[in-house]
Amino acid sequence: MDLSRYLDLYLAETRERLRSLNRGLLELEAGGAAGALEEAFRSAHTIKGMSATMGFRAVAAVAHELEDRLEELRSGGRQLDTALIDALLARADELERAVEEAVLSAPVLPAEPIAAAEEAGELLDTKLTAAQAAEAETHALLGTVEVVARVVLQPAVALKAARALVVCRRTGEVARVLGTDPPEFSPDFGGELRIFLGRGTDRLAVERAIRGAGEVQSVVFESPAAVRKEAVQAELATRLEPRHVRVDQRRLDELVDGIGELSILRGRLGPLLEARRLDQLEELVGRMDRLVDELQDAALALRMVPVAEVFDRFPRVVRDTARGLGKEVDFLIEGREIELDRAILEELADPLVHLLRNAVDHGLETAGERSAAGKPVRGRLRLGAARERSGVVIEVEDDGRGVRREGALAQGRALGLLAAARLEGVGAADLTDEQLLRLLSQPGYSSATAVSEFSGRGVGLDVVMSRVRSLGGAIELRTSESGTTFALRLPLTLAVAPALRVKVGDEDYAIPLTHIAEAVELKDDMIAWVRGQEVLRLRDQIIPLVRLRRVLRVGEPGGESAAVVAEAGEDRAALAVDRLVGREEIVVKPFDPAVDTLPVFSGATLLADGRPALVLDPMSVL
Amino acid sequence: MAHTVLICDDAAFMRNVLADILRQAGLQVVAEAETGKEAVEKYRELKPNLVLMDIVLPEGSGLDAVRQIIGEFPDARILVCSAVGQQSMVAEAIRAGARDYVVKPFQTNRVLEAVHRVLDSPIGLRSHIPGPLTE
Repeated sequence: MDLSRYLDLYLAETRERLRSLNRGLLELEAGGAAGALEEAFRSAHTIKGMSATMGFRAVAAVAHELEDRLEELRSGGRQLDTALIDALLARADELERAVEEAVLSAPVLPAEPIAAAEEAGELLDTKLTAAQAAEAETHALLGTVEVVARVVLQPAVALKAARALVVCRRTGEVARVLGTDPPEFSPDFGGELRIFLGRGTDRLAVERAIRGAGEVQSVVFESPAAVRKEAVQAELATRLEPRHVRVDQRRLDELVDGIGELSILRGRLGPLLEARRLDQLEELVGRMDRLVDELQDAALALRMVPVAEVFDRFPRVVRDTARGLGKEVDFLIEGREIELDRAILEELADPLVHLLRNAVDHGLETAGERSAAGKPVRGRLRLGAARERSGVVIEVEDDGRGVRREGALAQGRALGLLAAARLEGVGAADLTDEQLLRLLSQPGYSSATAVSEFSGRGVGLDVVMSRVRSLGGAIELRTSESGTTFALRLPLTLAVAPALRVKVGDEDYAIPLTHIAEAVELKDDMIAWVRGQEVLRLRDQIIPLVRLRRVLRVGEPGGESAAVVAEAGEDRAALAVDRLVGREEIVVKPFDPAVDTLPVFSGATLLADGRPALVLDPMSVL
Repeated sequence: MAHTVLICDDAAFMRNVLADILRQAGLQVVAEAETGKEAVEKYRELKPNLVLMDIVLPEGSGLDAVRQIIGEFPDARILVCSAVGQQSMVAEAIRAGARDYVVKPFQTNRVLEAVHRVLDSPIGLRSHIPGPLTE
């Protein structure tokens, strides 16, 4: 029997079981109900069965051993203690590795075992760790990639992926390697790679090193700017790669039913047109219109997954971090069932890990400090998801000591970041949460904060911030002596976003509604000057006025007919536009900005009338 | 002076093939080992310029031997010998510090090319190994 077609399913299911296994073990440690042990036991048992069926003996063996140990616990033959939990968790990790390994090395074409073994090799475990990826990203953000080496291997190389590793290794001996493209070398690696090199690269030495790695056909150096375009396209290609997604049957049925209905309605179009029955046509178009809306909703629903898919990985992260730091933490997850676009959720995993680790490491105090401050000894950390207006808000909340404003300002001053954060002359007492966040998320701030084993390294708040913003979201910070909360506001989906279409100069632009509070008619008597800044007086508020004609450099400001009030937390700005065109659902596509493009666009889109338009990021204006 | 070489392979046949290739190229095969353990011991004793290490070995894999030798002698020059299907093991070995690899069945020119690549390679800063190579 050809089992290879079950691989995806096997992997999806075992991953799910591994999550519940971990969850069960952690609950068990926390003194959880008997159900926890049952859950862990069942998970191990199921994984064993599935693995044996697939012929993955090594996996089944690990699962079996785990099952035995859990059985001992179940029958009362052994008492639970921390050492045992550690051992069980380690086993669970081993099981996870065994599963991945088994799946990756499974023959792709069982009909031709020899060819398959040669072809398949195994997927090389050369992925950048999250921290390294983030570090590379940080460097990319800071623009420290000085040059990119593009290497093509000879066509007949045996084990191309291994050769690529030798190339990377040799390069790493003479230059600072910030990353590679592809970031990992799979068995079907084609033999062409790019190596991203940092400042001070000696090209001659690099070329010599690469050629010295053997079986290299060519080495070419490229500028990072030239590479970026291709990199974006490559990333798009990987995003569009066919992926298997598990979908609720009912949602699929809805979609299929809807399309069936639509095709019936279409069948009526022709005869009605022929008979010139305008009244009935009108009614038909109305029905089709509603149906298409429903279909769009149904199709979007297919992309939605509960946040639990990612959140359930975190109890382990929090536990391990807390253990490593000798802290006791009660970790609470809320809103596991809240749904979010899969693409957004996946992008959020790393930033959330960063925020959680940071909270445990820097936010929560040690048991001693806590009891001295009259707090419960165990720290409290909450990760919550909730629906909010047209999006989702995810909060990471700790009851630790809060961010120390004096310290943050001193650090910012020492690093010379105050000017960039527009905080010169601001005292600690006046520093708002908003301003504090702006300081903490300056590129370069994170890298200089205290480095412990668990956080403060690699991915900094600047990376978290830019990731969230690239998803069309925003971050808010609330911090005091009784705790710190990071709130991430995100759109429900990346696919379609409600946007306001405006005209500035000769062009139409789209502004996502996520950050728009309101849009108003702009009259001369609403405009005033306060301390050299043009402002909009709206009811009892004074809002800085930003004339988009000036920002976009499309003509002289003056005579604009409307203003769009954008807000992010407490920051607000009124954007003066020539005219409001209307509200539209847009599909935001990432775009490749030309070098001299203004840094105020987050993407591009096709408007309802088929014209292309740039998507304005109002946050960048704030 | 001729470069000294240690060959580690559990099959006498393979050791002979390799030894012949190397000797004809003017290298001096100073020792042979059948197991990874033996290879580590012989390396300590003789500190050869080059080690040819098979991946699949009795008593601990060649990978373990690579790790151990590099652990004790970070500048050791190790060339891994592998079959086509062992790509991930080869990758592991490179990550562990092996400097190159050669694929069985051996072709004289391929083996010698790899040998010279390893012998000619400068010993650089291991700390600069890029992301994809670290765990």
